[in-house]
Amino acid sequence: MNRRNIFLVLVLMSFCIASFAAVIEATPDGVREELPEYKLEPILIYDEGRDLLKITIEDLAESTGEELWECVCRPCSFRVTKTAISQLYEGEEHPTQGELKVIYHHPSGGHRLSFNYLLTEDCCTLEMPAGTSRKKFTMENYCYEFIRTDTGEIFKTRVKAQVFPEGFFVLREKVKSEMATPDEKAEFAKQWSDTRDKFLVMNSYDLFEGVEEAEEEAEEEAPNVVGGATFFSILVAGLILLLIMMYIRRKAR
Amino acid sequence: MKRLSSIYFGILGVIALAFGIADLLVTIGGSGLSFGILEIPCDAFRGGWGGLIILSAGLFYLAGIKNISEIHQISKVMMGSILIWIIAGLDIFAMITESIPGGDRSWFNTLEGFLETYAPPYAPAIFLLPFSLVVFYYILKKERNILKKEKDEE
Repeated sequence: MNRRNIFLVLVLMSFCIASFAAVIEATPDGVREELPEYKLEPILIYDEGRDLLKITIEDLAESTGEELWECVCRPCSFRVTKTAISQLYEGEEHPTQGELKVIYHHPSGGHRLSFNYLLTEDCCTLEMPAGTSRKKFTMENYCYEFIRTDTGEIFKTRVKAQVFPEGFFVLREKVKSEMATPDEKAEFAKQWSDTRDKFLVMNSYDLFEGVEEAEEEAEEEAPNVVGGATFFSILVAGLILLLIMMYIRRKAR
Repeated sequence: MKRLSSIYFGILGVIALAFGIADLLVTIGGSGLSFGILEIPCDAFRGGWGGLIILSAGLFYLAGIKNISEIHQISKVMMGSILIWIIAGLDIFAMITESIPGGDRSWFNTLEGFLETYAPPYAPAIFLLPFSLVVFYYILKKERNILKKEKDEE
């Protein structure tokens, strides 16, 4: 095989890889760019140097190379990781990268990059479910198993069926196989946008199996506004007092 | 009164010393600690360098408590307080700068987000700050005494 043939093989291989990537990664045409109002607490996780990282969903999207509106996988993997942490760790306890492993079943780059970013590459394993492919997804692709390696505890969950609109996966398969009509493409873009929005706004117990409502409340702790307001008031009062004292002293002189 | 101030700054010095040592130990350990509203940072700057400064503040306080009414001694106490103000000032400045921007989605923070930034837990220097301000009372008292002495001499 001469150099020219090797070069041609490489080019063809890269085209194949690119086309696979296009099938999996591409955001469908016509999706809504504007996101709903959402408030998601950051994921708190120690890095290997024991610095506590606060990873927001925006950080995750930015670090993995996409805008948040362009992807369903990033919101899904962010929410499922946050939920798993709340199930496996108590109160002020936070995981360390390298300690929490995930087995996931979704072959998208969005899932892979997100889990790699949040939990590190060595801790993420992709297992494709039988009867699914990159073009053909089922609910089985949205099953997750998180393993806390220091204690051996396991949290298994899956996205609830109600999160995806009826016929979502059939429509997706048609769109990805280039067999969908323009109407079906438009419908899929709408369903896709709705699903993405659900991962941003819905409660964890509505999104994932095996999460109790009370646990969700504990997960999303109310921000300590009273404590903050008290400290801020003391700070402002102290500053005013200092200024008054300085003024009185200056006047006395 | 002299005795009371010595006891006060002695206790403050011991607490500052303990906080400084705790800061350094936590930094060496590499894992931040949080007890209720107290948080001991573990990063090299705030935990390591900051811990060293708090430790020095404690040493200054302890060095200044003997014969505290003497000007050189009170200046040591003042020095201890200044060191605490530097670290606490940095912490408060960090809070202020963190509280204003809204992150990726907006230029400015929400009221809730703004106030949340000032919520506990706090680093040890913040707890030492109000107690270190007592030194002003003694400085002003000293100033009054000096002025009175000068007046009497005139």
